[in-house]
Amino acid sequence: MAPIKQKKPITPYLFITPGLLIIAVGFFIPMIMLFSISIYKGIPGSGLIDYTFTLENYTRFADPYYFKVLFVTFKIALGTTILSLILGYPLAMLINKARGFAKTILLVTILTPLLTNVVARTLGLMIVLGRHGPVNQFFDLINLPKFNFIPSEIGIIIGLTQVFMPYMIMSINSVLSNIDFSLQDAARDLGSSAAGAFWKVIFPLSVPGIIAGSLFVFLLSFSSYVTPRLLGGGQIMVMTMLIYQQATSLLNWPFAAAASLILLVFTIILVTSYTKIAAQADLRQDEYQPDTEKKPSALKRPGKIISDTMYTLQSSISRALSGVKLLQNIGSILREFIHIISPVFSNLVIISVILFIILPLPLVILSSFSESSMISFPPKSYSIKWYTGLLDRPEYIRSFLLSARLALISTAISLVTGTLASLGLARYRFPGREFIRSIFLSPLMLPAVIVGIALLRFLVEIRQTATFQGLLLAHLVLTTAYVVRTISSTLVGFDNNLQEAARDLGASPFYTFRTITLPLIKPGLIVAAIFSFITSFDETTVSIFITGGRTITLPVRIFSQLEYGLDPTVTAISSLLIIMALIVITVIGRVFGLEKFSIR
Amino acid sequence: MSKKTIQTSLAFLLACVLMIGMIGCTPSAPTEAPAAPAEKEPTAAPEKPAEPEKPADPTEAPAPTEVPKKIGEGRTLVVGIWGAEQEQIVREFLIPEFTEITGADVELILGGSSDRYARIYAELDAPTMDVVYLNIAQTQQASLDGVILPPNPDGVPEFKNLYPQAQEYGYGVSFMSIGLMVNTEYVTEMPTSWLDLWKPEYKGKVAPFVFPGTQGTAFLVMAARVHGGGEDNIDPGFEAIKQLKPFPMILSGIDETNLGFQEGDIWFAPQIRGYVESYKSQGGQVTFVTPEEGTPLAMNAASIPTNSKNADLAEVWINLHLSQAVQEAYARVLFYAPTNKTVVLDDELAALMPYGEEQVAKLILLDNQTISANQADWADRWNREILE
Repeated sequence: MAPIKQKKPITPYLFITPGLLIIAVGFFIPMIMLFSISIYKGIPGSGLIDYTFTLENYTRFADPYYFKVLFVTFKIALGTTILSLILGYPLAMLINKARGFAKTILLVTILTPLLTNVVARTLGLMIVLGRHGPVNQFFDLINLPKFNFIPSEIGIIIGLTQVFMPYMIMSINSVLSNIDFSLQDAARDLGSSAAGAFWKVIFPLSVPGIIAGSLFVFLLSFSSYVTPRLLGGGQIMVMTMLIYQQATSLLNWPFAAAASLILLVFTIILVTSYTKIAAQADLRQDEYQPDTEKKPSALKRPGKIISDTMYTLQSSISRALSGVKLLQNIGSILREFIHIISPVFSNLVIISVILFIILPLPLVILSSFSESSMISFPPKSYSIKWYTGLLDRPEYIRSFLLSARLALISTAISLVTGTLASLGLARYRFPGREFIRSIFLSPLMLPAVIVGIALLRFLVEIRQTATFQGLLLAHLVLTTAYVVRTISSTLVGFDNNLQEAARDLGASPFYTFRTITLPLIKPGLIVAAIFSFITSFDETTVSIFITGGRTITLPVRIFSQLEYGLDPTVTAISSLLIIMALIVITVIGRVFGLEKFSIR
Repeated sequence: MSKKTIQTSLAFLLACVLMIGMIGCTPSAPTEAPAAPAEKEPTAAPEKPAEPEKPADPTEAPAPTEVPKKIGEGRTLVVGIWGAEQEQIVREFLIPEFTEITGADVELILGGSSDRYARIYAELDAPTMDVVYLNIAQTQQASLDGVILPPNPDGVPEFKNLYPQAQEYGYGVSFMSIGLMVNTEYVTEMPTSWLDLWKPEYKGKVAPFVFPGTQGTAFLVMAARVHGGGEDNIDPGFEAIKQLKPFPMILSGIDETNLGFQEGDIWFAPQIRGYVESYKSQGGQVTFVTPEEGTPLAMNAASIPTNSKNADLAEVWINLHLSQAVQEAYARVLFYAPTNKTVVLDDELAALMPYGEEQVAKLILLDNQTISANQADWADRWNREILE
């Protein structure tokens, strides 16, 4: 049934404009300025540019070596995404089912590692996965050959999963909280198996969360630097390391610019197609098909194929197994056994995943009390001198206040503009909609070092270097990306008719928004706010290029503190941040009612 | 109070805090107030009270009626320098003295030299920093490109006291030598030459540093030199390093290095002496060995970006960095050797670094120009041949 009134569609553009403006000024213009030098020659050994036209930077890319590096980076990012999905989904389900204090504790456990300095975390992982670390010692115990996690791609994947899984978990959780789980019961009542109820009902409904989560994890892994560098033992080359080498050591910006342009185009295409295809697994098809008369193309919606396949796989395996006569007797005993073991087993799995995430925390906290500045675990002697030492360093407090202020303002502004943009994108269908969604995500697609340099050159042009505003712009660009993506996934399946009905009944637009839309997107808003805040508070690489003497953010200061090795002051600060986060999240949880996260 | 009231009031409170935060506390807190000199008395003998004023006069000409206005009154000097111990040293020994002399404020932009190096090129037209600290290769290239000013002996009187190697392109502030870091827990027979690293019993225990990079470049060149090549014939270097595979790690930072030695995975690495001595003083079971072929020179230099508006203040700062107090502090804390011939260190300290005419002369100066010109190609080759 075609809707009765067709509003002139200028409103979607109004909605999207503020967000797009931020991305345009803070990201596109600087990037275009940077890309424009990719057609010039770099002078070997020098950072100056020879302004003669050349395409050599692009033709250089035809070298199979660069394809190999791209492929390795892609492989690692993909592996991380899949692993995060497999490990993170059960955890998201668990958080969703939890109530009250248990829920708060779980959320805190997942989120606080994000506030620990990434270098400290990765070093902790290196100790754990090292040749003489607990993991290999365990292998020794059960007579398995030792495995060299460092250097290895698997080590990097594990490390990246450990760092980025919370993004997957939170994204899935925010969508799960909007799902009515009584649908699952209804399916069972109607005769479906447990597998069917999950794969055919719940899983498809959670797809938007999976999309958002996997995009975040993939892009973050793709553009990550510290973890691949450390866990790859310096021997596994990924795109970010290559670009970093070209941009800061060799100062070959024309080539770095060309490489980044290619990377950006490649990633946008990837992201847009992924979003389009994966969304087809979603049951709420009318979102993605403008006309129900038009038959789906012969492509057969590969996304849906995946969930169908999983279900068929699981059910046919169990059916085949039960068919085998030999197993029938053992089968019933086995079934009983599995019945009893299963909850224990799944609890065990979930607990191990949680332990995996918070793994470095005890390392970090314990080593902050260590007497010596050498990294050893467990510490040989204890002292609180690193904490008391902080009192003599008012610069840290200043940096902390600056970072907090920056993060709060960034989050506030991007929540508003990002939500507006998401609403605009969700409500009105227009060609290239998915593409524009990807555009919002583009700041996350490039290595931060390139974004930093591009932004610096832009700020130099407008004489705004080393200012608070410049810093704010950089952070806004990043936080808006998270907000748009998260809220977009919450808005999938959003029934516009509810809003229409409210308007018809006489409610003003604002009242409608406040009472209808807002409560429905609240879980997404909270998650988006958390991601935003953490991203801004933790942002290091881009900020390094645009901080000034008076505008040194906390992560930049911490990073510079690591110049001569991991100073326990850094772990002390991380520990303090962890405790602070614990308190804040608990308070917010109590006051704003995390129970309200779910419909049930 | 109902939950709703709590929520609304908290939201209101948050909004207020945000507003106050945005309008209120401007980022200009009473900046870098000279850190109260904890234990060490900063200004033992540093001198030059009248000297720095002289070259600065041309800019200001206050009518000398009462107290002459200090040249830096109301101005701010922005210094780009490494963090951690370096920040602490300048806060304690440099900033108070500087502020005393010039009346200017100081802001530090902390970070590593690679980011700083990229930054000064990007900011060429409008530099945010007035003093930048870079390593020897970066200083040389930046000077050739006209990104930093050449040294000005009139503005920096201590310049004439520097060793020649420190006078080349910027103002050299510390000397460091790159030699062998040896794991004393596992190695009983101390090596005497770079070539010892290629002994079969050490296979798999020698860790190179990333290229390009200070230690990495030094190692590549030394490997070439001891195998019959050099900066203009780098092939033997690449071949030799390939023979060292498999590597326990390719190092890029201090933590991985120390951790690797601690765990026993690494027995040898090319490393800056200062870092080895630092780690040793914290209990690390390592020692520094000066091979018979010599140790390459690594140097940190201070320079002034070309379009800086505070070049006169920058010169005062650099002059202070070359003074006894600051040079001695660097030696004590970081084991960086002084570049100023007139600086005096006690014997125990002097033994741990290249100190004195004789030792400084023995430091090997690499042909940085050749290295710079070929760096991109070598990096490419390194990526393909040395890494996996």
